[in-house]
Amino acid sequence: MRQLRSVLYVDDEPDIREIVALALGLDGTLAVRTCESGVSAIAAALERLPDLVLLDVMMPDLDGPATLARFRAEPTLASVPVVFVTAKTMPSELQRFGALGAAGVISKPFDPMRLLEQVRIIWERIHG
Amino acid sequence: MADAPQDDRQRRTGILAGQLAALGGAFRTRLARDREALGGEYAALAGADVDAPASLKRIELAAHKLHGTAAMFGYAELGEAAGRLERAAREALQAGAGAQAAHAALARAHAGLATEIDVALVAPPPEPSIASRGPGSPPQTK
Repeated sequence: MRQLRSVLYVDDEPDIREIVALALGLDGTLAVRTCESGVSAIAAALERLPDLVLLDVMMPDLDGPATLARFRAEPTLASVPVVFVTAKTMPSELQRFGALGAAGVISKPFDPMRLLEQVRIIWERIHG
Repeated sequence: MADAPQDDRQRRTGILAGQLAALGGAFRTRLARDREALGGEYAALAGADVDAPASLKRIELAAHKLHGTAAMFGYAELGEAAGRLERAAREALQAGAGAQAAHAALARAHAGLATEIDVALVAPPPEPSIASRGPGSPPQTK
């Protein structure tokens, strides 16, 4: 199975970006980058293709679903798996995320100590 | 040697807990700003010249952010209260409520969140959610 080596996390909340960078980076095996908006995430991903994108849903301007649509429309980024990280976890919302092409959903608030494990499980499901 | 992974996990937990505690201080500062901003948006709904959908959207977004963040800093009840305000704002938006109706519909949820923020600001800082739990435990939410 292909190894997960790099993650791009997108969230307009600086606190959450910092927590995610710490939580995913502590074992030293993952290169973690963060972005504050969908627009900057697309630019960052084009500059250096991440293995996986973790995407907040509710962001000003370009929200998570709109950002995912931009990723899918960009040939270089179209196949990058995108996981939503969100407090929106009603069944209807989860169905919508799946229909949009999300590779998974991680609920907020998440347990920082379990985040890396959750990400790896989703990665294994994608590539298993 | 058999305990090495557990030791490493404890070390990581300690580092993360320390970082979360530090971030928690900034979060409390932010709470005061959020309370003021949400209060301003909510009060504006009582006025005559307000763009109700835009105001509701801002309230929904601000409450959503608190909903997703608060429990990680040990403020589970505040996070739940923020979730209630987020839902109330979304439902008012979906119902196409005017400003006055939205003001009434959000009253309880807004007051609840404002109270939780007040409590959080005067109480001693809680421990971050991972600090008081063993590894692998689920997030603390009520």
